[in-house]
Amino acid sequence: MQIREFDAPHGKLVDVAADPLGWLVVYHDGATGDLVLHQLAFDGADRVPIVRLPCGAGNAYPRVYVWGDATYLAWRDGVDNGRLLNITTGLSTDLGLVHGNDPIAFGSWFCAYQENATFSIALRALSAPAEPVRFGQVGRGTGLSFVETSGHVVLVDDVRTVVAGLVNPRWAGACVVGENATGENRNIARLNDGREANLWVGLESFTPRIAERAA
Amino acid sequence: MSSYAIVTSGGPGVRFALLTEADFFPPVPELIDTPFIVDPHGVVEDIYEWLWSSNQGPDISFSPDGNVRFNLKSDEVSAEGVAIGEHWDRDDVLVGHLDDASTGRRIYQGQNVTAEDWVAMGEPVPWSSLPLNHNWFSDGARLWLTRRCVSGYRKTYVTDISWSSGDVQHNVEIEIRIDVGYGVIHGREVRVRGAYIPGGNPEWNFYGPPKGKNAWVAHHTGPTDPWSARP
Repeated sequence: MQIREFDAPHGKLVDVAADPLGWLVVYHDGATGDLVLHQLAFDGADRVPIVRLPCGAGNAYPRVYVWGDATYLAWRDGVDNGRLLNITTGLSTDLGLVHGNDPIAFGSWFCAYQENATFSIALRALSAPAEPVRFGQVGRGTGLSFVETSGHVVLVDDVRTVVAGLVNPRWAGACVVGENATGENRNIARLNDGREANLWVGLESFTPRIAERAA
Repeated sequence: MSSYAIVTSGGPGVRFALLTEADFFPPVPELIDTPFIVDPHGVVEDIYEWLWSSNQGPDISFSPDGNVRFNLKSDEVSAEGVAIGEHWDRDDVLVGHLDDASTGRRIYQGQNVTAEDWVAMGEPVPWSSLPLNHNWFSDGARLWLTRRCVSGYRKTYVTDISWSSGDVQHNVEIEIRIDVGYGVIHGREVRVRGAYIPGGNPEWNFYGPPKGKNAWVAHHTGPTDPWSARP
């Protein structure tokens, strides 16, 4: 196991993904308001210089996602507009006002977001980000977790406690990670076969995110 | 083999962990902390069946600082086939600590002996092919690291420890805990293992196959801390 801490004492709202070259870690720097993107090799070493995007002080809830040959970054900017950026092509899409915590989520070939104060959910196909697609699904103030292949959007509240012993689980491959549901602060990562790893025992470790590099 | 990157935030900021499947282990049960029960004779009931196994020794390994292995053995049997008590050894070598085998008394050649009796015998005899150093108890062998107790066993005692070098440390406070589940010493879990092989694989000796039943010894740091004082 390799552990590292980024030089970001005010960093928050993290996400992680795996692209063909390594890991992508994004977080919101509460001190500067920047969205910060670390690109790491698969061995955990720094790959390229850190990328900073001015974002603003409000919670950005950034998401990073790899689909097909492209890498996407989405976040809420300082004026509550959702932004969808195809890092690979540089194409940026304004999603309009987004609402709630975790207002944006990825999954399959979709980007989903809560587009108004009633939390109605819009979907955009990553291949055609300018065209919103609506399925009539309604979100919630606690936000979106991920999008299923069908286009159904799973809410944060739908899965918050569905894994025994974990809170706010996230899945990648054969592994799920979440906050420890009871007792001391830590994250628990659990494989499908039941084996576990404890992370950051005794430290506040909110809403962990996970990405897999398949063998 | 898949690898996983996990990120989180909170406390000291943003943290990243990189795991492979080798970093995952069977989960340990939540620590059960059941008060020990003492029978009318003062013997603490009864961790024995699952913790102390009569022929193979309980073989508990623990490591107060993550670098040093301790190994506690119980129900040792002498060459004469007489149960004579427990001993501890440190780093597979020395630090004898003879304790009760079952009744709250040391047993040597079938006879109960006090700590003072034991010391008066001179250099303790080796058994189980392991040389033993010995220690003196400042107020008698009042700690019975009993083979009969239940989860939640706690005992703190003060003793003097004599090292094989001749150094003696006085008024060393030692705390012993035994719990079902697992123990954590300085952030590292320790577990009962099935077999102890002096000089064997350190990792195996340290972790061993988990049985879900464990014991460990914690120590108090300070000027009388025997473990940090020992080179």
